[in-house]
Formats: sequence, structure tokens, C-alpha cells
Amino acid sequence: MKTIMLVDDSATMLMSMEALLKKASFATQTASSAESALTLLQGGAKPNLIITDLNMGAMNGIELIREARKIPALRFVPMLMLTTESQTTRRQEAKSAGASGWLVKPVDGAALLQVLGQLLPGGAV
Amino acid sequence: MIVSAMFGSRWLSLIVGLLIVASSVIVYRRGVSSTFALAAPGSAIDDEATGASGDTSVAHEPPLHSSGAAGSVCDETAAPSGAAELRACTPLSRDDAFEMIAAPASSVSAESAARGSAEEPLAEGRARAVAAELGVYARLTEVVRSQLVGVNEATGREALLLVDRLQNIDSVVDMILGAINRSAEVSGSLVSLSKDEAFAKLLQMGSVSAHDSAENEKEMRSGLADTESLFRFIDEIKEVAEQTNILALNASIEAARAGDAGRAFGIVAREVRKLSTRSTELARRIEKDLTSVFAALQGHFHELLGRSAASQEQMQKTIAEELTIMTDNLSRLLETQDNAIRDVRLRGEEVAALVISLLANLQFQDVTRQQLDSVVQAMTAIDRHNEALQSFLLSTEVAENVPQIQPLLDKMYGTYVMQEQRLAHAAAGVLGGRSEAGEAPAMVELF
Repeated sequence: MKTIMLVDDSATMLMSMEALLKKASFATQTASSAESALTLLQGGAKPNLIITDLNMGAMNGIELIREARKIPALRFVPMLMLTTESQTTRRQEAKSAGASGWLVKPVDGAALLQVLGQLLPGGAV
Repeated sequence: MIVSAMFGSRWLSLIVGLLIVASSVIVYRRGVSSTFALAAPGSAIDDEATGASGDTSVAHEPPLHSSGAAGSVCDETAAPSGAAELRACTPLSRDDAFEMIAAPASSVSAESAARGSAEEPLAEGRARAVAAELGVYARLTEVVRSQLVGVNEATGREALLLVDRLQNIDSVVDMILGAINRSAEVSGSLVSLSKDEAFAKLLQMGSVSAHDSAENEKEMRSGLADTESLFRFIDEIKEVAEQTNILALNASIEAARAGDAGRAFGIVAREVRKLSTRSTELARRIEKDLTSVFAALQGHFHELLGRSAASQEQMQKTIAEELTIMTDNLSRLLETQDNAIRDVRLRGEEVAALVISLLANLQFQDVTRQQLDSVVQAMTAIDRHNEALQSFLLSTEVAENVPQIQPLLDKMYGTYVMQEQRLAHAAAGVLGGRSEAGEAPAMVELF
């Protein structure tokens, strides 16, 4: 079973996305801030994919991806931004930081699973 | 969803606009409208300012946008009348402003003279009155702000409850599917056991003649014991059907609690209840059949034991008939269960897709939360601007400039996190020097 790490400062987002991914047979790991996600990742957590919000507390999602990419084990792990922000300049910034894609909230459930299917060959298994 | 519709980003510009327009109207009503050029001449509220129309230093234009160029002298040639863009404006100093406040007062000097009041005190009095009136807005925005924060909290709580309920429904549907599968397994075992072992023995027993019964006595006893064991399967089918019924009842309750979203679950629950009722009926019928077969076999067995050859053929015929009926009923049970399982599995897949879709829809709460947060921030900024306007009106500093709203609007624009917000801001014509917000890029993009 593949694990997806969810990073968002909204409890609703974490709970609903966690339930959605579990329903799609993924294991999940959640963090309510970029800092706590980075602590988990630096501590050896190795999810198969990371989905992060952009605007959170002190550290944002792009900074998290930039830092996470420095961890050798996570160099090729897909990292997605899932945010209300749709600005092209921010997307470019995320791309440069190492993001694999950009999803604008609210993203359709089927569309999200399709993206995950593309990034994780073999699906949740 | 209603909340989402209510609190779209247009709400933000609406609230901001209303507050600024309201502030402007107050200013206008108090007789300084000509200074700030905020309302159209001839409007219902410019009765006090009719004298201002002759004042060449004042740009009297059609209604300005809510952003307003409050406290500015605006160049009419810089932008066409009614254009969405802000006009090129020069900030006024407090002195200029007071001069202008005084100007319309002089043009209504007949009225002033009649009241016997001096021009300067009248202007200052009006400024003080305006400042006091503006002070009321801080209280108003506080009320609206706290209500918006309340909405965010309430939708957050409800969204979490919805996640919980969706998960409950989902787990009940999973349990139902599990129970039905188990029921099918039991029925399948019953059938295969019947065909492969017990029934074969029973049929064999039915055809056993009196002559070789002594040799087969042991086998017959074992056959009877096997037949008896079939009752356990029937009990199990009944038990699973009952359990499924309870689960379906729970699913109906959960579906009702989930409101419209639960309608699809309600259908599944109804179908499953029908299935469990039908399974129970069939299981009862099979049990009855089995009881008859068992009774016939026992009778046959005892007769055989008693070496009585009487009615042998009749007994065999009865047993064969009972077995046929039972096999038919068993086949029907399996057929019903197979159909139901196919239906429920299909519905289960629909439910799974629906659960995923509904869970994804809950992102709306986070989207509206951020929109409302922006509105709350904007209102706080408006409060600050309002305070600045008040202190400007009451200040005695000579060189002070009228506080400008554009920097505040620019700052607000910088806090937006959604393209919708930027588009609404642009549509309100308060972009200032910024370029248009442009089209929203794709919702899903893989790099």
C-alpha cells in the first residue's frame, strides 16, 4: 500500500482528503504545518507522494518542497501543490522548487485520483 | 454549497465597496462632497451641496467607483467620464481640503447668514460631525467581522461532521457488502455440500433397497448426520440476513442524516433490506424443505431398520420429491443472492465514487474560509483607513495630506490567494497601476 503525505493547516482539508485517499486504498500521513511535515521527512518518513497546501504558517508549501528535495531519499518522490492559489508566477516558483504539479482547490475527486494514478504507476497498491 | 455561493470573492468587493461608498455618502451629506467629488450632482443626497456646482476647483463627475479618489483633486482629462480606471488624482492637503469645505459653505452663505454662523466654524463643525459619524463604522465592521469569523467556524465544524458521517455511511456500506459476500459464501457452501456430499448420500439412501440396508446402516446414519448439519448452514444464512438487515437499517439512518448527499446511500440501503428479507424468506423455505426431507429420511431409515419392505417405493419417491423442491429453492436462493450481490456491488462502486466526490467537495470549506479571511482582513484595513480619515478631519496640522485608499487596495490585492478574488478586484476598477488579473490558469497542471 502506498503512502501519501498530506500537509495542510486546515483540519477540514486534512480530514476530508485523508478519508478520500483511504477510500482509494492509500495509506496516509498528515501534518498540519510545513514545519512539522519537514520534521517528519527529515526524520526518515518516506511517503510515495506528498500533497501540500501553499499558504500555511511561517513556512509555505513551496519552501517545504524546496527543503524536502534536499533530502536524497525524496529526490524522485512526486510532490504536488494543492491550493486555492492559481497564479502562474507562483506555479513557476513551485516548479523551480521541485514541485511535480499544481492542483487548484477545490479539485474534483476523480481528477485528483487520476493525477495520482499518473504519478504513481500501479495506483495505491 | 450555499455558503460557498454566498461568500464568493465578489462578496469581498461588495462589502469593501459598500463600506467605502457609505463613508463617502456620509462625507457628502455633511457638505464636503464637493471636496471629495464622490457623488453625482443632482442625486437625491446632494441637496446641501448644490452651491458646489459652480466651484471650478472641484471635479464634479458622474459617480466614482467605491475605491474613490477621496481627498484628491482629479484630472477630468486623465480618464473618460465613467471609466473603470481610477482617475489621475493629486492628493489634497488638509488646508486645501478645508478651503474647499469652506467654499460650498460660502456659496450657501445666505443660509449661513440667516443662521448667523461663521463660515470656518461651520466647516470645522461639519468635519467634526463627519469624523464622529465615521467612528460608527468601526463598530459596524466589528459586527460584520465577528459574524464572518463565526461563519468560518460553523462551516468548519459542519464540514468535519460531514466527513465523519460520510465515513460512517461508507463503512456501513462496506460492512453490508461484506455480510452479503459472506451470505453468498455460506449459500455456496451449502449448495456444494448438498450436491457433493449430503445430497448424494441422501439420494443414495433414497434408492437403498431393503435388501442391502443392513450393510448400509452405518452409511445411512452418517447421511442423516450430514443432513442435519445442513440446518447449521441455514441458521447461518438466516443470521447473516438478519445482520444485513440491521446494517441496512443503520445505513438508512445514516443516509437520512446526511441529507441530500445521502440519497444514493438510501437506495443502497433499501435494496439491501429487500435482499435480506428475501434471503430470510428463502432460508426459511429451505429449512422447511430440509425438515421435510429429514423427516422422510428418518422415516425411511426406521422402516429400513425395521426390515419392513412396505411402502419402500413410495418412501423413495417422497424423498426424491422433497429433495427436488429443496434443490430448487436452494438454486433460487443462490440466484437471488447472486443478482443482489451484483447490484449491491455495482451500487457499492457508485457509493465509493460518490464518497470520494463528496469528500473532495468539502474543499469548498477551505476555499470559502480563505475568502472570508480576506474579507475580514480587508475590513480591518478599512477600519484603519477610516481612523486615518477621522484623524485627518480633526487634525490641525497644516501640511497633512488626505489619507489615500489606493495603497490599502494595493495591499489587499497582494493578500489575495485566488484568481477569483483578483478578477473581482479588477472588475471593481480599483487595480490602480496594476495590470489586469488575466484569465485563470488550468485547475490541474503537471509539470
